[in-house]
Amino acid sequence: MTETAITPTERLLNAHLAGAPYRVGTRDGLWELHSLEFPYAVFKVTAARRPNAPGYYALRFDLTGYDDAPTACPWDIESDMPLASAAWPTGGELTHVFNPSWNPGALYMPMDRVALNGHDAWLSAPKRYLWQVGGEGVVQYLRYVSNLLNSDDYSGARGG
Amino acid sequence: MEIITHTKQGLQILNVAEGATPAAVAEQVDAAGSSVYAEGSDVPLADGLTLIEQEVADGAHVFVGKHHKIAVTVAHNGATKNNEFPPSQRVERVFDWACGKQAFNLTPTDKAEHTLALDEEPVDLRRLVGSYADQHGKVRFDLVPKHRFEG
Repeated sequence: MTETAITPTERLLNAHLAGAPYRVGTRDGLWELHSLEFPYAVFKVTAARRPNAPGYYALRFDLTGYDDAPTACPWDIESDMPLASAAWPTGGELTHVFNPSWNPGALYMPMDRVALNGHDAWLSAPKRYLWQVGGEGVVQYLRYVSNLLNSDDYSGARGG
Repeated sequence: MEIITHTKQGLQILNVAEGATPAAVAEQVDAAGSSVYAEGSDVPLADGLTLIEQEVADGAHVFVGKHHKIAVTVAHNGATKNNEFPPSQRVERVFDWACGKQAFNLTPTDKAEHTLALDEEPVDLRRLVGSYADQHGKVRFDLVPKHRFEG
């Protein structure tokens, strides 16, 4: 008989998902966990209403090395594949953050470990823009994206 | 039912009994003697009534603290504006006021480029303003440009 032992990193993620900051966001309808097969997790993040745009975007996280910064990209839950570029959100700051031309597998923002690589200047930004090891975990990334998707900058999907 | 409490110590989700009173909520968050405010209200919930009797429903946000009003100062480009808000008001409403005609009168475009910060750190606009107030019921925010990470 084999038993899969939960790793310390998974245990830490579970603790963050059980914590008030994550659960309050779920209760308030800001985000929810869709699936988890560690180190991969798919979350739905609710978006403000825009014409011809979905009510949420899914993000597939690679949480390898958690509680180090993760990376994530928009995900198509139906096909279980990366979201087509035309369906990525856009508008204002989102045009830079959700930029499949830069990298279809990551978001261009300092919470994302792939984007942060090579952008040492970003480390001088206020702490709340940066991933904090020992902080609230994945909530930090979800909140950042939630704020963008509910900001006046957000205009809908690229091809919408 | 579950309610979400905001205090200076942070957020908590509390499981409360059907007959729970505001005093019981304050005790549960180690703030015995404090008042409990429904979101947006500057009138504390009455101690003699249960939460349900005062229309505090499952999933409601409440503030637990001692100040009925928070004296808010917002600084921007060398000027300051002052106002009072219920402790249970979302910081987002403070931001709306600060950007509005009664304060700094930002254009919609400029508003989208700004946020509120406390000690140089942007604040969570979804939190209740009492969470950021000092022991005297005062808080000073800065209305600052958002950081953009475009290069």
